[in-house]
Amino acid sequence: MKIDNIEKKIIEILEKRGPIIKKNKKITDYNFIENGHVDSVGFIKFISEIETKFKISIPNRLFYSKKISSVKGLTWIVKKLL
Amino acid sequence: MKIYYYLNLVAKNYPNKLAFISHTKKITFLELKKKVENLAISLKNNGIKSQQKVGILSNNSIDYIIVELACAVIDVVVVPISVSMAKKDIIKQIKFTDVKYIFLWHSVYHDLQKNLLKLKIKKNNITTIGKKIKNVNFLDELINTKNKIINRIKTKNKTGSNPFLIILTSGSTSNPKAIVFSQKTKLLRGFSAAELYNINKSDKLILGTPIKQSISQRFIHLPIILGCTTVVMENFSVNLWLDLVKKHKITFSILVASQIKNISKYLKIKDSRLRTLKKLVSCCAELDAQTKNMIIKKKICRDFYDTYGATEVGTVTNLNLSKSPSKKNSLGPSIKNVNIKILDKNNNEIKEKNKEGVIACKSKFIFSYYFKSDLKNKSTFKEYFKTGDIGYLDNAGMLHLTGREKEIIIVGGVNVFPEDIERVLDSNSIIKKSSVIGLKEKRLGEGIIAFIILRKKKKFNLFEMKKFCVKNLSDYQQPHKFIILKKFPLGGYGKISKYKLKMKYKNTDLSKNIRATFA
Repeated sequence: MKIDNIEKKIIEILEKRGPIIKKNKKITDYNFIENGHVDSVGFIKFISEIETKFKISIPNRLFYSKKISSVKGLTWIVKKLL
Repeated sequence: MKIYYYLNLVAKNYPNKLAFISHTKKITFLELKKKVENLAISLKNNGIKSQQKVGILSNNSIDYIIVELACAVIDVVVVPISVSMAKKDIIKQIKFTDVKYIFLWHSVYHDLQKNLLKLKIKKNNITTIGKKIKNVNFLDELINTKNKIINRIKTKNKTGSNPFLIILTSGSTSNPKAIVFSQKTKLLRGFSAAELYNINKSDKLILGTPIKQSISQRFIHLPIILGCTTVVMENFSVNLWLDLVKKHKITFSILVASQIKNISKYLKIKDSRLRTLKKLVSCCAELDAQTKNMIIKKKICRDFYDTYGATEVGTVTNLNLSKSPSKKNSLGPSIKNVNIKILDKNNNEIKEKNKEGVIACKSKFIFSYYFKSDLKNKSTFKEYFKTGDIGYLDNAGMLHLTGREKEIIIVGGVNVFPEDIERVLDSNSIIKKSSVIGLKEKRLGEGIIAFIILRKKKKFNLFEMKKFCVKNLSDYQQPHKFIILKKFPLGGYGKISKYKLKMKYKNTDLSKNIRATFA
């Protein structure tokens, strides 16, 4: 799957949770954890949504990593696991 | 006592003062009044009648506030619904509350469109928030429609006692528990908070809890009754909250205990980012002793309050931990207009101090009723509402919480009923029986473990189970771990012993990705 498609699907999942506030940054730099878009209550479900959408399993070492919190980082993780 | 009366007053007294600020919008009291009135007229023109139910499926936003206030103006009942819920729960809540008109976040429109039509919600009664979708009403258009100017919008709800707001909890029966409030009760709670925390027009508030929680309503109503300003956080994160407190010189906030716990870890002693914050209130769950000590030590604000309450009765007790640190093991005394009694199993008052029983409250701020349920009568004894929590009053009249009458798990401040999750899990074809418990989790206060017994010849597949849970359970209901058992430990009456499960698995680490183990 192309990077653009992965990004698009991640953004679709995020947008269902509410507006993406970009603060003049590129959407790929959007940090959905720092912006509270995905909070600690919603994190488990969000990761499960990503895993089931892309048919992957995110390992524990990446579960609370910094990389997982941005569109760019999560796209990278998904790409690696596909 | 009506919201529209105070909206008119505040728009007249402070027309150019900012009422609400969010990341994307700012609105003065006069602009707010105009938009609210215009939307109210548009809704009337669209055929909405007094006391009809309007669902709002949205995150925290100024748009949400405008819709809620417009509904208040035309005596319509607001049903806030969380976008983070499972689709089937959203549909269930809409159906249960008889919603006939809905405002919804644009991204969920296509997912829900067919279901809404099945529920006989006409297309013209659907309005999107955030973005225009072709051939669907759009909130901004309704707000900006050129309506005839009216001097006053009249309704029959003269005292503000009609139903105005339905707060939905997941409920431990097959239907959601829907708690009905009048405008009068919500305003009284606002006035009570203003008096309790000495909030006035010069204060700046920050809303960091989800708008569908009853406590969040204070942040909508306090600006309307006092003329103060609320900064609306679309989403909550510790860093964002700290940045906004500094940027907007926030003076007052209420947060859920788990949010405060996370914030306290990040702060230094007398952290400069919180220089303007005079008062911070912890609510919705018990704050642990370690966090209380940290807050007292770090002096994060002038007055830090720990409270106890319930959606049905509002705030019950309040303790200023900064001024009375020696009372930190208690939840403080009852607030003005609230009386507490401790009841035994037969609903008799336990007058002896330090003896535990069910906490019951008589409150001026009590809810109206449960929608489609007579549970209020069952939960109320001689005007005292039984909270379902267990505790006692000490010699100084301070309330202490010792347990819960019912099995409730509090995940990040949200009450989760294990039965709701068990019912969903038991509907899965591979599961013979499930049992769900809550265990300590460092980010959320409590996390969820699901114990499962499989049907004969069925195999457990973690991926499929995650997919099933994403589809059928809300954010706060997701199990953090599955443990597959051959049999459940039983208690004295042959029922599953959750106590034994808790004791055996109390040290389970829930901080990692969802896992499954076979025991």
